[in-house]
Amino acid sequence: MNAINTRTSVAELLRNPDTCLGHACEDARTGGLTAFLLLLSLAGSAAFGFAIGSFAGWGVAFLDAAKMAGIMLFSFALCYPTLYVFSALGGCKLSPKRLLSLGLVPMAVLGCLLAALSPIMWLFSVSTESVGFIMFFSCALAAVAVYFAQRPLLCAKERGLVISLVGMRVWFFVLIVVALQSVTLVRPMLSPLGAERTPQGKCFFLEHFKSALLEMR
Amino acid sequence: MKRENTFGGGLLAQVAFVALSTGVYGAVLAAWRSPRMAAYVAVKLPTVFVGTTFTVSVFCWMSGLAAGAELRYREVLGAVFAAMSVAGAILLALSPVVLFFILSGAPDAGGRDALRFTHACLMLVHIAVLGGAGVAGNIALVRSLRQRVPSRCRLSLMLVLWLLAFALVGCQFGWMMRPIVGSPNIVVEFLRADALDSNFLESLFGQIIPHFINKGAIR
Repeated sequence: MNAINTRTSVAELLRNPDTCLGHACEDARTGGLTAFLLLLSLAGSAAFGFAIGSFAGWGVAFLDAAKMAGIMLFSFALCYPTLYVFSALGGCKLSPKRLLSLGLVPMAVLGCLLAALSPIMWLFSVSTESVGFIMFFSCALAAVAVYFAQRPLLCAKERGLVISLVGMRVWFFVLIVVALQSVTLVRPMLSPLGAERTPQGKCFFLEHFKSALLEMR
Repeated sequence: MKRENTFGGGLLAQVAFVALSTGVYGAVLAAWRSPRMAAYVAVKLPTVFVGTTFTVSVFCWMSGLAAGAELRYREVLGAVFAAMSVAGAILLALSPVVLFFILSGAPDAGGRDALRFTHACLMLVHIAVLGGAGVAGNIALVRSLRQRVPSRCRLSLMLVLWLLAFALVGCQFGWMMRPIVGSPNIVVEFLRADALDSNFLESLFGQIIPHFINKGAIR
């Protein structure tokens, strides 16, 4: 992973995330790896955002690509202090810099899977007019990606990086909830720029998702 | 001597950290209501946490001696504040996340019912966060005490007594320091005019429980 080859590194990340965790936590230089993981995460989420936004045309597709990448970056940045404290409570002794790399491993896996699911998302986005369906379908696909993304965290215990995984699991849950709330914050995702935000004003993500799903009827 | 350094050492730093972390979370907790309320609760929440600990500390020390723990007073304070520091670290770590949710999701305008619903949702979030932090703190306390007390110590009895004392005094401190979350329909003030007129036990057994019993009887 030191000499980064994109294709083999992505395969290695998905096949053996614990090796990647090892590189992140043990290698002398981790700057390149950190940048690579961050890039994977942002590019994958942007691709998924593009696929979702295709529902409302090219303009919205590019806008949603930027929004999704921004959501991923913002959510990780907001939850990084939580990761630091919760992993420390779980017995992790990594420096903040190495922990950044460790935290980006599940994010990169998430990005890879979102990118892999983007063509499927795109196919359904351009072939329906139901906002509720797109909301439901994108959440279902994202849930698959999230399931695989949390698996590298399990390797942290196997490699002896943490004693308990509870803190890491709570962090990942908080990260996903923050990402969902961020989606609500930047709504609408499926309408042209300047379109009315529904529900209007501030709201929690459950209310937003509920109102979108009700449009499926 | 070594024992005191590892268990009761850095007490002042621990107290300061608990005050800081609960102060930050207190400000976040009441930020939805108003900035003035946030400033009030940033002072009141550390008072509840630190005040409760010092109030029950002598009882904890003595009950610990009676249970065979053989801990000095300073060691008891050190153990409790170390556990509270764990809880404080969790509160501090979650403060940006909770603040983000309050700023982005909690409506600060609207009808009476909508505001009451938001208030109830926020209450649940804060209970979950504070409860989770409390559980983590208690787990840390149990682990550290297990390593320190002699095997003949009745640790379970001692912990039950400590928890009861903390719950009782903490609830009363919180009751006196109302408002903390800040109901949307009640004016913002540092302390309520009737703060010292009754205690939470009177309210619990005189109003809250009878309210639920009577409601059940009507149905």
